[in-house]
Amino acid sequence: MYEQQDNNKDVLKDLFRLMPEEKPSPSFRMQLMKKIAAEEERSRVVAERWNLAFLIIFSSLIVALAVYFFLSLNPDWKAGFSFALPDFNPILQNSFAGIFHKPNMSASIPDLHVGSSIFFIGALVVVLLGGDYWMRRRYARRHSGK
Amino acid sequence: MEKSSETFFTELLDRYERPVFSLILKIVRNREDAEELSQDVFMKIYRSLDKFRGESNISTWIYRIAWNTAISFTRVSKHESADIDDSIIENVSDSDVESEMERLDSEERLSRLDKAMEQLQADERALILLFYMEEKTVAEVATITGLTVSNVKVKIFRIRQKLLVILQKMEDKEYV
Repeated sequence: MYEQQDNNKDVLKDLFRLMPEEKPSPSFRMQLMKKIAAEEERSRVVAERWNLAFLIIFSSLIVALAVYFFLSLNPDWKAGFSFALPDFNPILQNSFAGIFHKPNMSASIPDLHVGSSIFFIGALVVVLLGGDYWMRRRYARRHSGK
Repeated sequence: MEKSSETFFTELLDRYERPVFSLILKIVRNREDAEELSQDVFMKIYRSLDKFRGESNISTWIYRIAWNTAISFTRVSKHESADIDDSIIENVSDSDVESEMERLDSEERLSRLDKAMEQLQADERALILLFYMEEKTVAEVATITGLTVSNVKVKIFRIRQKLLVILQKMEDKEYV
């Protein structure tokens, strides 16, 4: 079998040495850089969309959580409607018996001032997360030189 | 991409732009396709530069990407290659071709080699080019192509014998 050895006469080795190295066209690098810039832009837009989606999901979760805790911490609210929460895991339920209990509550639509507090907290969360998102975008733009 | 990675990528472009293009052009034998494929190679390098862990030589890594890109392309556009009998392949020697080549000037030799290369399959061309033109060792060729070292040795031996036969046949035709 064949292994390259300098001491062996190899006619092909001499022939291939004559082969010139080909040059790409002068616009090669410019086109490549354009493709790279387009790809970077595409991945930036995709990342931005994901961030926005996470922001919306996260904000909704926080708002939902805030509403849930407001309702569970004010048992005096009158029953205008009732709803059952799903059973907690029994082990967790026992472990946190002192802290949490399965809320078996009836609630009415809260008073106007309670509702506005909930709305205020929800809005605050959205504003803060929005601010965080905006500042992150600004930071990313500044540091990517755009 | 961070500044340091960007500088590194530019350095890689400066160093490997021409050899990668040249190798791909000689494999696919079409300038436009070669430019397109070389750009794909550098795009792949750019995308995975952060993932390159230095487990292999950077040059081997780049040539591996170039090999995969060019070979995948040529698999789609297969062309006829020279079919040579095993007994002929085993009987040809360097000296037979060498004496005939000595009569020619370097331009004619190159033109013969180019025509002979055209009659090889794309993967055969790629292997022989890595070995002779890029001067990679058998072990490096094995890493680039994903073949075993012994398989590379066998293949290179057979391809070079095939090339010698084609070159000899060209010479015979010239005399007829």
